[in-house]
Amino acid sequence: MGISVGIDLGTSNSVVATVRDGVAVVLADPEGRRIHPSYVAFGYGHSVVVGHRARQQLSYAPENTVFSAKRLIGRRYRSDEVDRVRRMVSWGVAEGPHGEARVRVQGKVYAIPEISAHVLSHMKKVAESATGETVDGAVITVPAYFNDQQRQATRDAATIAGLNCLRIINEPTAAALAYGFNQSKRQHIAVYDLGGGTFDISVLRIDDDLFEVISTSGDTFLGGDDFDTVIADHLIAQMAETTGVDVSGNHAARTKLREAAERAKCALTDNEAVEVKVPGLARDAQGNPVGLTTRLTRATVSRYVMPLIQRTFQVCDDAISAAGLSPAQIDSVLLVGGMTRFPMVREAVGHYFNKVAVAHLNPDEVVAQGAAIQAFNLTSFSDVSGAVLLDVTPQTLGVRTVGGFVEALIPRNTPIPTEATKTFHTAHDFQKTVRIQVFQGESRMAQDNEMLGEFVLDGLRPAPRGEVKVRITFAINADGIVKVHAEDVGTGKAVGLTIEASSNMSADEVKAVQTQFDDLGF
Amino acid sequence: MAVDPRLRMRIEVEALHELLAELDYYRLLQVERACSPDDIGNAFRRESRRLHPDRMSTLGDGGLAAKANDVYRLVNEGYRVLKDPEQRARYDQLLAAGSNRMNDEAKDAAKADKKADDPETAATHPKSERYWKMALRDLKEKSYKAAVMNIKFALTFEPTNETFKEHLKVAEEALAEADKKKEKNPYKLRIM
Repeated sequence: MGISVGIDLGTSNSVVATVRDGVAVVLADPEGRRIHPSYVAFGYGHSVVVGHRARQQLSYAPENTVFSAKRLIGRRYRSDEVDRVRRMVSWGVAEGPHGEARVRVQGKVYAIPEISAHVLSHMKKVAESATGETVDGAVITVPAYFNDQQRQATRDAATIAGLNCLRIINEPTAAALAYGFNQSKRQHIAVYDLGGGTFDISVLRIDDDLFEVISTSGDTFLGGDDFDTVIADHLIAQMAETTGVDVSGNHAARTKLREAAERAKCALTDNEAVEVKVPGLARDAQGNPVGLTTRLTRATVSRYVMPLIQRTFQVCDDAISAAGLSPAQIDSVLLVGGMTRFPMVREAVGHYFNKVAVAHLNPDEVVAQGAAIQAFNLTSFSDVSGAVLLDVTPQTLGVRTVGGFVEALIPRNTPIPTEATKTFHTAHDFQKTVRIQVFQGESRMAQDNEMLGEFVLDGLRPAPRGEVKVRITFAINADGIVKVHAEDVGTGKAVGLTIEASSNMSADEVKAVQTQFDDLGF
Repeated sequence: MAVDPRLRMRIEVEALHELLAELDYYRLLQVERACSPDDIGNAFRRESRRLHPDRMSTLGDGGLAAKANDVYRLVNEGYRVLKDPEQRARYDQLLAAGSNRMNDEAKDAAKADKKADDPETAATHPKSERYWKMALRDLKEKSYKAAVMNIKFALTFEPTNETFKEHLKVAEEALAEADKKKEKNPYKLRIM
């Protein structure tokens, strides 16, 4: 029998861990590296490299090096979020057959789960080479605020990679699990998770071995990448000011400045100020090479990133008030995600909660460790011990009603697994089909929410209007994924249900891609 | 001789699943009908520890997992209904009339009951809702200045909301009262 692992499939970096002798340990590659860039680089022909090697390719072949793909997973092509990604990256973004965002590299279009599958398969190989055993199953983490589409797409990625996905769990919940809190004291904790691409806050009630999520909220478009972008923008402005050369339209120069911004950001964790030197960025009017030499202090950077940090507190307000608590009633605050190393973030979080945040575990590794613990719990029987996770659905699930409004069926923060039913009547005589649009989000207007899909009930029995009643059951499973089932109330028979307008890959498509994936020799 | 814990778990789930249709939420959570809200929370946590499907994931067969799911979903449902005072009241009526389960009509009625007397649900716009919730928290904590500000923010999204206006009046009066006290005392003390 092989081992089961936990994989933190991050926007910027991924980590794999497993439980060994009762302790969650992060698995390193042969070079000793524990954190792997979520980068996938395409070379000529069929060659694909992932992780550190892919990241090295970024500076000379940015158009073939895909990063931050997680920002696009489960998203529609026509959305503000996708526009923002397009401005940030050098590779192409294309529209898929279901209106979803895809990646275009070297003239070939890839579904996002395919890109994530490369990262997952890489992490699996890291785990197998570190332990010498095969990986049987994995718990994969996602941001708590991920919707059904994003979770389903993550599951598809696992399927494509040939990985048995035991469970999708939320990153903050995983982190809480890794911290343990086995002191059996009943307490409320908040997990502040600021990663590369997303921000999540979850409020949990921990009672011994029971981890009960009370509320969760997040912003799937706020993370370390945004910090890099604002710092890089500042560098671009500085360069224009001191040298008169504007590189804002120069992809290669912007990539270099983004990297410099990221390095500077990391260096500022331990230093008050850093020198930034990036030579040979562009040429001036005379054809002489120009670069950028400047000094960044914590104070300057803080001025630019403070609005981003403030945005996280709006999300915190939302989650804490949804839990019926105030920041002062939170007993401990856990810091998760690489961005929480940043002293300004720590300080601001400390002020907000009015207590020193807990961060004795490595914020980059703690999510993977928690996932490994959950993988262990799901695969090994224990009568007494073993934590139980009670998670919630992060967004309200509803159906569209007359006038473009949404009728909520499963409110946000409902414990999962759960289900709700809704009975529909036919509106016309001898109506054969009913069309139902399902949404996730907090707005009362359908158009402001994310449409999960459109379901068509067909083959209804012919009858005068109002006589045929169809009961639809919406179930959310422990992965946070929505399953829909419909039955004729009169006859008790299942009604045919087709999913249209879902941005997810169909089962056939996943299978086809999986076969191609296998052919790559992974 | 002790029973194998796996076998015990399997028997428990099988038995509960068999009885599921006959169990009302109170019996499922193993609490008295007259129990307190705290008792319900504690019972939910106790039953979650015992019956959460994750605890059965290693017992191997899909059939048991599906049954465990059915049982636990109902535990969740029962908890959701009983922890909400309005839903619980409506459910108790149903129970008296011989129905074990909450239904959509009773849920809607409970929602209406709640709306009628709960300021928490007064906001009808997601943006105003955020400020409104903060305002209610401020009122609870007697931070009237913050409450006035937050209600005013909420009113910018829903200028005609009567509940907001009523609370604004209350908060402003309380603030004026508090300010008066603040003004009076230090001066008088100093003059004397």
